Amino acid sequence: MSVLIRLKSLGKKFRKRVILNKISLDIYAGEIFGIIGMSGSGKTTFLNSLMGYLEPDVGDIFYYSFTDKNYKSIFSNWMEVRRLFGFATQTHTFYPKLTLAENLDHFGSLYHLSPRTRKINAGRLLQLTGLYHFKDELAQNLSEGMKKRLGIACALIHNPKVLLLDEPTADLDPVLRKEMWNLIKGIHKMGTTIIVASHFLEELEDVCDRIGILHNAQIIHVGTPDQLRQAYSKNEEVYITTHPGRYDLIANSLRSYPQLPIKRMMVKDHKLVVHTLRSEATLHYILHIIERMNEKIINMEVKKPSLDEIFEIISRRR
Amino acid sequence: MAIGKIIAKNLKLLIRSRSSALIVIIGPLLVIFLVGIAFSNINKYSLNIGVYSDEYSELTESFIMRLQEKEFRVQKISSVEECIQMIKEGKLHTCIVFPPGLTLESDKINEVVFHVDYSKINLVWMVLDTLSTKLGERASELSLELTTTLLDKLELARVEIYDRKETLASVKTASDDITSQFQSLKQDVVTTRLIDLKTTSADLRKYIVEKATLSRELIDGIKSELDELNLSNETTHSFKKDFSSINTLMYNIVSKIEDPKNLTENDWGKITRLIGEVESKLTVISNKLETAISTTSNGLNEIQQSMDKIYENIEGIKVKEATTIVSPITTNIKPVVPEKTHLGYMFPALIVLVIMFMSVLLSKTLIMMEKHSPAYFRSLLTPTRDIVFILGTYLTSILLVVIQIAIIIGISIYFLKAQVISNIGPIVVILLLVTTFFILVGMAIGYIFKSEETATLAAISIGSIFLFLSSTILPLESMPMQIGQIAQYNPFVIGDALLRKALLFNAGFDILANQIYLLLIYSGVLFIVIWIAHLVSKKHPLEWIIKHKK
Repeated sequence: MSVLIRLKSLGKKFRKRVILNKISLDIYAGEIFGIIGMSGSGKTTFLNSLMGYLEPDVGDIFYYSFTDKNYKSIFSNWMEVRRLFGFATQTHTFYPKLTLAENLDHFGSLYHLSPRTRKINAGRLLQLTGLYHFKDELAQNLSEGMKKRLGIACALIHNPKVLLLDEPTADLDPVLRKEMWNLIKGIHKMGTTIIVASHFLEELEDVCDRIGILHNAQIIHVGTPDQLRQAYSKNEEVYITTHPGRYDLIANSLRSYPQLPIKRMMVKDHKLVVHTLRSEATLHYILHIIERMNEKIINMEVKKPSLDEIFEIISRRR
Repeated sequence: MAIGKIIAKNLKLLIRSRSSALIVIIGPLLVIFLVGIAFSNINKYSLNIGVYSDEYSELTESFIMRLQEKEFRVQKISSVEECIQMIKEGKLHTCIVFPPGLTLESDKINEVVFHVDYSKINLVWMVLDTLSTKLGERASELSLELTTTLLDKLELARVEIYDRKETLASVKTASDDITSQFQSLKQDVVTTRLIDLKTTSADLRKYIVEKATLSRELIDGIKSELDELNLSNETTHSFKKDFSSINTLMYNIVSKIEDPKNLTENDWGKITRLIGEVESKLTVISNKLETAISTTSNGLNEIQQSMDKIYENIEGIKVKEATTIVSPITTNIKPVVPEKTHLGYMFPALIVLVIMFMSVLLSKTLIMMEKHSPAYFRSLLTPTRDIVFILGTYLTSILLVVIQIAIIIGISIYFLKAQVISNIGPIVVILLLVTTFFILVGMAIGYIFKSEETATLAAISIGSIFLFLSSTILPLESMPMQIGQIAQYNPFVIGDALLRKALLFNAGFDILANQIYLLLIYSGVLFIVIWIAHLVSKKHPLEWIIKHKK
């Protein structure tokens, strides 16, 4: 994959507080790149800098110009950058008193699209986001999920090559979150490079090709979800659901086998979660204990460590 | 065109926001409706007037009646103190104190005292002016009556003198006749005839008798004429006595002459002696009479000269009309334009006032709506240039304001008979310029201030400053000189002056050019301010985004 965006020693301060500290990063064309970080870690500043809206104090961001076939600074070519990029912020960036169609038409005109192109693009995006039947509704009357989708539609009205998404699933219920990620995948399939910042790490790992961890004003690690897991944790997680579910007795019995490499155990969502370096051996002993205690197995699964855990580990280390 | 879409979006947002639509569309119509009702009349003012006098004379009552004839509400108050207190309480606009028993017969000064509340500065001059006019009218009437009487008397004197001039002339003629006759008598009878009588003897007798008889008749004639001379009784009596004695002597002479027996040489000697006596007496009388007549004639001449002078003086008075004497210089105030209602005169200032608040508030609202809109950030991320957003807001504002001005002027033309069409070119240019300036003021406020409340406060404050530093509330001439001079450059004052010249006096561009250029310069400066403020305000959306992140 070719590099679409290249960050070189990007630095940004707000007053005396360093938000971004010499960040260097490549983002490839056609990938979904996730940014994770704690609240206030600078994810939004990072995205605004990518859009060229915030000029850095040091460093630069380059993008691949499809017209000039070379890399150009985002900050000195903002007209082209704005045509190339789309940005859906966490807040709703459309006019609540305009209808969905009017919003899309208005923003399309600000991108100097012809009326015909605006109409075609708006229809396609309304279909894609599942809002077509509400195109004549005032935006203020939409549900929260619909508003999020409208925000993304507005960001895509000019067919950008890159879509920046800031917390696209914030404030959405699980069903809507799933719909939103499906929408993002759908957009990605159309060839759009997506850069998404979110704190729903479990969701990001399912969608993103690569993830960057923003911590203490720096990107401390970039890689695929698997690369992240391997780099930061050898643990596997065993989830057991039994009836009647005497998890305290099961956990005590497991502790009587010191040869097992168990890191920790906890009860979470009516499940016993066991973090271990050897999931097969641990499972063997668990099954034996359950049989002995006459517990009935309802469900049992083995998982690799989640991004939540990785992020937690990284945060603790730093 | 992006700019067209921006205007369309602005209009939709305004219309769909009920409160904004109410302010923008209904507000100006309501203003012009209320103002139209309030100022569209030529009536004077409904004033409450208190009057007080220790003693109400007939003249005082006539003054009060004159005030009541108009729409003034007049009430008699029991004391000056109460009257003043009622002014303080706002129950009365003024208190008029008449002197007790006001008459025009006495020599005292009749002073009518007005008590007014100077804190109501814009009312007090109107009250004084209106009441002074009304009382002045009655005072003029009284003065007219007095002067008319005086002139009537003078006219009578003039006519009397004129009539008497003929009598005086006839008396003088009679006097001259007497003098002449007497000279003739003296010459003919006394000097010539009596000497002839002495030397002629035969025919003389008859002749003497004839002449003596004639002399007696003449003496009688003179005696009768003496009555017509305005001589003193004593002089007249003395003359009559002398003439009687002459008459008697003449009779004796005739008697003696007619009787031949009596005529001896001795008698002739006696006659001659008598004639000599007559001659001497006649000479004495003649001298006395001459002196008397001369004195009388001189007196008559002097009287005639005096009367001629008086007559000429009276005749020389050019103004004989009492009205002219009472008001030698009458003032007739003619307006430079046909008389209009209060609204007619206020129309230019009113239009500028409506434009100012409408433009400032509307453009400020549009900018604030956009700045506070969640979509502002998205708009800034588009490749549309900043100038397009600024122009979009400006054009939206001017479109709405122009529609409203058109409605207002349409109403004014139809209902209030405002003269607009006759000088439509300059008026349209002025309205557009004034509107542009105030829209730019509103936009600058919108860009500079962050919160809606502060911006509204700033818009109203700036509008109020423009209003207070104009002639709408108080004349600029009444302000301190420096402030007044600064206020001349107040855009509100310039707009008002431009519109006044164009509306009321049909002024053309040549007269209006300087002030139009000034407004253009103001607008240019404001545009630069807006541009800078817009660039600064572009940072705000990011702060807003970060602030509103959940």
